[in-house]
Amino acid sequence: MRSVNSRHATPLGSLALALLLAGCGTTTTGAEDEGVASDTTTTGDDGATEETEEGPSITPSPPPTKSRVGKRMTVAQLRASMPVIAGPDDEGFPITWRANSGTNPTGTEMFASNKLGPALGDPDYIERVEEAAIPNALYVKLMDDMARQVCTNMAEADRKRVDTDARVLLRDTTLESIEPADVEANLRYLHLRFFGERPRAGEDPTIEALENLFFTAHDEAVTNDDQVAKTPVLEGWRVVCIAMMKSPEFHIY
Amino acid sequence: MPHHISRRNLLGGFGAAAGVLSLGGLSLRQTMAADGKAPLVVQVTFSGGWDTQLTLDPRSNIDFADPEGTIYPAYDLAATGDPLILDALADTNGTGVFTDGPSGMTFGPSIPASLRAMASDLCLVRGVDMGTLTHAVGKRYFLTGKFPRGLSANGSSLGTRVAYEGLGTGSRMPPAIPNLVIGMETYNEGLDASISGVAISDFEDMEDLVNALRPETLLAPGAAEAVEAYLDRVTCGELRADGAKKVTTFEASRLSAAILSSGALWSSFDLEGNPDLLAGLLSHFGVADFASLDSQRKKSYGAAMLACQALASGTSHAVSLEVVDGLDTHDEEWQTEHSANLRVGFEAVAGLLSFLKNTPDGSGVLLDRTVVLVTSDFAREPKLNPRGGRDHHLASSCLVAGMNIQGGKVVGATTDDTFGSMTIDPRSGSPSGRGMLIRPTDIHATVLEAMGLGWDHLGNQTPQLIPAMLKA
Repeated sequence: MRSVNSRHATPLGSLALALLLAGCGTTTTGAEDEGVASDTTTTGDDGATEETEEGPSITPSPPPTKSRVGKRMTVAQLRASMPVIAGPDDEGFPITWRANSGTNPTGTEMFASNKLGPALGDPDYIERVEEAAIPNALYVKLMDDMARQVCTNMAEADRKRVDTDARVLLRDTTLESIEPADVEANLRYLHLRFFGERPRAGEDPTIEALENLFFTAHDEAVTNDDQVAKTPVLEGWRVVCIAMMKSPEFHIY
Repeated sequence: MPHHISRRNLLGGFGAAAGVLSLGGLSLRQTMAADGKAPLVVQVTFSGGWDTQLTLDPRSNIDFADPEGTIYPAYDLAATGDPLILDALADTNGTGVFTDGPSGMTFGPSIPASLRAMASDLCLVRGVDMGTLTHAVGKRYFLTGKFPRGLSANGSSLGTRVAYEGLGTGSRMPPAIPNLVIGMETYNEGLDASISGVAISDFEDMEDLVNALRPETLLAPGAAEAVEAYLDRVTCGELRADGAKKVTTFEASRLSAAILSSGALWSSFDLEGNPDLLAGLLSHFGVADFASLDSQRKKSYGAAMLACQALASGTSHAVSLEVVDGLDTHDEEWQTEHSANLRVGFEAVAGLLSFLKNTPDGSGVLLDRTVVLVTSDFAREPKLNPRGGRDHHLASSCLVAGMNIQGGKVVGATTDDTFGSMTIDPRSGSPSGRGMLIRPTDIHATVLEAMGLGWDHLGNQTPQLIPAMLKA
């Protein structure tokens, strides 16, 4: 019986307010974000020539804005990617989104055509021969379901793993560490693993946001001692994992 | 268990002049501001191309008895797979044509009594010129009101258009699933991403859609807020700066997804856990025990019941559903399957209309602010082909009911020689040699007019209103 645990229910009011009111005013975007800082040269939006201490120089234009229309991952891509991203569980079975709460390693994959594949847009080749790869509310909701299950299992698998080098979620940190350097290193690894892109060297706003997320989740777990994962550190990584797997950066390329 | 339903079985496999006057010239937004409620729409599709002689545009089985004639109803042959047609022939002195007393409307032998009983609420439009004999084109033409570009849909689905018009009115939040699509296609061309159709194929999809997240994987409140804050940053950042439409859609879906994840809507759809709710719904379909239904009725009734709940609970402003497929009967299956499938589909339509007509809504009933449009890809040939089936035919029909739609009305006609579409006087709906030929785009414009919505988006199709379909 599924039920809503009010203690843990998503604060809809807060989310609605955030989405409606927060807007995007504080976020820096575009070429300003993508330019690489230089001691002597600053990069303008238009790649203009600017005066520096060493005299005029011609700076390269910033990387062009992506012009290709973004695509949502297909069901087949999700299905193939998930075991690679999530790795195996402690018994060697691939972790993916499964029926039966995900605790049964042989449970039916939710991406299957007899489960949620069609709802996620998979063609049935009877009525529909094209993938309906639309990130609509159904897709986003189901991906939330998926992220929570997969990430919970990833955290638990890492906790149980004897071979620490084989960890997937906590590869560049330890089960106990909350040292900022360890956290940053592991976040950079996860950024590459989940998004397929290396974060920029030095300060990176995405890494900073993820650090805030990790420590918020960790601290709350310490305070309330009712986290889903077994330890506050694991809970922090589980929450980071969920956020990254819910992110459009994960689903759209 | 008398009402035990397996989820798969329940909705298993279920897999858009005068009206202005009637609204006093109010725009939709003004109308909704006045009573706080948005107009609703239900578009019902019969996939494969229906036989209109059996249903909405009948001919006498006696007057057209010659198998070599250009029109041959062959109701007796259709009875092969639908014995109830024999009863219909007996009840109609062998013609197979039912005539509603008050309105004088005629119905074919595959139209169930439950729908005929609501003749005073129905507007039958006959002789609709589909302009195509290709399934995908006909289906998409009636979905959007615009003739497709090749096989590709042109414009947005009717449900998408109505859901879009319902956005941003007053201080109300938009419904959780503004545009629900059950077992069929949906299109959004250039409208707000948040009202794109949410397509589901069966009841399990619906449960996964509106049921809560599994408690064993939930987040603590602070963590949940932190995750959303992170996602706000992401969607407002580099990805959106790319102008990627998919990211915009993704972001627009987040709020609806969060409402769905809360599980708050589940009580409106948990028919298995609420026998009284189920029994109430089934009563409109004339059924006491869902489990006793055959698979086809479970699918069709189930889809209609889901539509009922989505509208009554305020979950959706628009529902599009396919109640029947497999109507493309070029061979003997026309005799063995076609009528029975049509009957089931129209039983589902009757149940849906009964629910809407009897569900209180403010000072009226739900049907007062809902338009129901029932369509198919096109019609089937008026005579049998050498294989005993019927091929595709241009002159189709549709059924319309609800908000500002004139009930007990027949608009348009087909000829008695070739079953071709006749031109009509749009004011009276009667055949007129100098009148207009009815097309799906004209139906869309008139339906939108009835709802107080604009139809400028149809402009390049040169739509014409059909005032005869609208209440005076």
